[in-house]
Amino acid sequence: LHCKMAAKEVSTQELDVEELNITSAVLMGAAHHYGNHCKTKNDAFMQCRTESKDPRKCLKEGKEVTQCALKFFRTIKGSCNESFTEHWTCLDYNNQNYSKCRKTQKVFDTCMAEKLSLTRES
Amino acid sequence: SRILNTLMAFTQDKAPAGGYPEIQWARRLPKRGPSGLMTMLGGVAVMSLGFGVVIHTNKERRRLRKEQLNARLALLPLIQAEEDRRTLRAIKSFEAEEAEIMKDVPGWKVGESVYNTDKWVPPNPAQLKY
Repeated sequence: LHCKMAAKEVSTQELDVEELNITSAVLMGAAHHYGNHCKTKNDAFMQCRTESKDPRKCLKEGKEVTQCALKFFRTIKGSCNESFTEHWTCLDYNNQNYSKCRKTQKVFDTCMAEKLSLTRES
Repeated sequence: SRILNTLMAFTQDKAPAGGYPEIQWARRLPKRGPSGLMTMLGGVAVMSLGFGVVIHTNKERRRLRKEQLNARLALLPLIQAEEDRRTLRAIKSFEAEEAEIMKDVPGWKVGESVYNTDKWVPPNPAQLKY
């Protein structure tokens, strides 16, 4: 296949970003809180992406998105680690089915609201 | 003649004393169970209960679906950013390989686009053998 690509202008330094190493259950477990917390960064990235339709132009915003996510999950790990681990383990066993994990979700939500004053998306 | 009578007294198969009882030959279907109206009302009641359950369940399912879609919406930028970086890294490594392979070919522009546009063209999955 005759391959012609265009990533010359992108420097390796721009692509050198600390990546988030977490699984789908963890992401789905904290998704609503994460969406609420990192809303501005996420919206900025999506706006850049839809306007330019070019990933090379939005690398800075993408880096900020990943950094916000890293900070968010590290904060949870600091304060609400046990309740969050219970919740995402439950989701892991139940195919990311929220209706099967209401108990753990309640505990996690109260912990987040008390310790970090983070609520789910309204 | 008394001796003759006793000699000639056979056991006969006669009807029982008082005759046979009446034989039931006409049909007798007793009216029992709920009337037609009550049956229909009962059916209507069961069906409306069933409909209520279905409607309630559909609403609940819609709520759960909305929750799931909100979660995916929140995670979309994160995943997209990671995917962009991953794609660009792959493209860069293949461009480096291409430059290495074609360094002795005169007039070969590494990473030249086959399209007559400056827009970003998403790479063909066949080009990206991650």
